[in-house]
Amino acid sequence: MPPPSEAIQRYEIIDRCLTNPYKGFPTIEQLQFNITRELGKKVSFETIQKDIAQMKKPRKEGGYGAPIKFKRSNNGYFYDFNEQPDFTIRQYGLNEKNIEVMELAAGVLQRFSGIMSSDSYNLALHNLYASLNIEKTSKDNKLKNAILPQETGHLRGMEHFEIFVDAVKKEIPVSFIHYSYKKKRFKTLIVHPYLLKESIDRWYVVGYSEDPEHANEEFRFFGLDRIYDPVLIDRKFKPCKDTNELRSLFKNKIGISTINDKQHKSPEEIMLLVSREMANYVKSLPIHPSQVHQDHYSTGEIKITLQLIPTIELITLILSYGEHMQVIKPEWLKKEIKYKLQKTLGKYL
Amino acid sequence: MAKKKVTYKTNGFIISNPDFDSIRKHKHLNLQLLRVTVTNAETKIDFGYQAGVEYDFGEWIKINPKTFIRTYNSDKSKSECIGTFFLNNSTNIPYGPEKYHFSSRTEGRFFSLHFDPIPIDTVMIDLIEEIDGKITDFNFYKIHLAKKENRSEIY
Repeated sequence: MPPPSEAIQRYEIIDRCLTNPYKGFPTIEQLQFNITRELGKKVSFETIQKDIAQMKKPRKEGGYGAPIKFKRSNNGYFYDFNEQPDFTIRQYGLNEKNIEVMELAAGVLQRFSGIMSSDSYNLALHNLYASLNIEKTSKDNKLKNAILPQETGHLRGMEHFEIFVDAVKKEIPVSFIHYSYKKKRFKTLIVHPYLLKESIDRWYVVGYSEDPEHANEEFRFFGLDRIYDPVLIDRKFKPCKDTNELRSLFKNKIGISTINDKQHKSPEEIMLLVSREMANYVKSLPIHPSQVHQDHYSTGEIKITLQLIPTIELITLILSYGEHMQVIKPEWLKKEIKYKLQKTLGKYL
Repeated sequence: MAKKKVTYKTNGFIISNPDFDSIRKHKHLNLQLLRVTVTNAETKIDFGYQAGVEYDFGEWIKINPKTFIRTYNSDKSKSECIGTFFLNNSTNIPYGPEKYHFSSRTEGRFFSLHFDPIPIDTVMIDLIEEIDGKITDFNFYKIHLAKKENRSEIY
C-alpha cells in the first residue's frame, strides 16, 4: 500500500526542514510545529517518528532510503550528506508504487474519454514517463488489464472541458452557442464560469450569464453537451459572490436540477423503505452522505432517511429501484412517484 | 472586386446575436443567425437550424459553394459595397448539391460558414447565398458589426 497523501505531505515538510541550511538540527518539537502550521492539524511525536522510520526505509519498501540521523548533542535530526550527498526526497519524484497507482487512476479516468483522449492529456502522460525515465512495457498492459472501469458513451461537448477549466482558473468570460433541449432553440451567450460540476455522467458549466433573460439569477447551469464553439473573450470578469455558498448548494442535492416549486428550495426529510434484496446495497453505498438508517426490520427491510433538496434526479433514482424502494414521506413525493409509475404503466397496457 | 490584405492588432472580435434585415427574419424562424467572428485568419458566421413541421416533407440544408459576403464601411441605407469575400469552408453543412437531411423534427443543427478575413473596420455585411434569392436561400442583409452592445473582443 502506498502511503496516504497526508503522510506524503508530512514527509515533504520533514524533508524541507532537514534540507534547510538555516534550521540546523531540527528537533522533534520543531518538526511538529512546522507540520502543524502547514497542515493546520496537530500530529503526535509518535507519528513523526514513524514518518522518519518510513522515510529511512529503502525504495522497494515504499520509503526513500533517506539518510536521517539523530544528533544527541543538538537533540535534533539531520541528513547525513556524507552518506548521500545533497539528499532530498524531491529527487525521487514518484516512486514505482506511486506510478502504479497513477496508472490505475488513469485507467479509471479513462471513462472520461473526451478528456483523456485529448492531446494535452497524452502529452502530459508522455512527459511524465519521460521525466521519470520510465519505459512503457508489457507490464503496463497487465496493470491496465487488472481493472475494468464503467464505460460510458462519448459525451458530446467533453472536448470543451479544458477551455472551461482554463476560463474558471484564469477568470475569463466565455462566448458560446447554447442549444436548449427543452426550448429547441439556439442562443449565443456570454458566461462568466465559476466551476465545472459533474452530475450523473454529465458535466455542467456553472456561471453567471449576461443574457437579459437570466438577469435575476446569480448563476446558471449549462450542460457541456449543449455547448458549441466556446471562445474566451476579453472583458471584465464578474466574480462569484460566495464560492463556498455555491459549492454548499450541491451538498444537499442529488444532481443539479430543481423542481419548479418554491416550497422545494430547502432540504426536506425524505424517508424511504428499502427492500430486503436491496438493503445491503443501499447500506454499503449510501444514496447520499446524509443517509441515516432509521430502522432495521426482522424481514430484512430497512427504513432510511435523507435530508435533501428534492430534484428530478432524486425522483429518477427512486424510480430506478422499482419495487425495491418505497417513499414513506413526504406525502407530495409519494404522489409524484405514484403518478409517474401510473404513466409508465399506461405505456404497457 | 480585389481582396484587401488585412492585419489586426487585436485577436479579433465577435458579434453575438447580430441585428440584421432579412427576408427570412420573420418567416423562417427555424434558421437562426447566432454569431459573427472576425479575426485576421477568417470571418466565421455561426447558425443554428431547428427542424420542424417541414420535416414531414423532407427537411434538409445545404450551402451554395459560391456564397459570399459583401462589406460596407457605413450602415447608411445607400452606402456602397466596398468588398466581396468568398466562402472558404463550412462546418456541419455540406456544399450543394449534397444535402444534410434531418433525422427528426426535433433535431437542431449548429453550423458555421468560413470566409476570407474582412477588414476590421467593417460596419455592416450582407451574406448572399443567391443573388435575388428565394425565401429558402440563406440571404441575410445589413448584418451590423459595429454595435457595441453585441461586440466582444477575443481574449
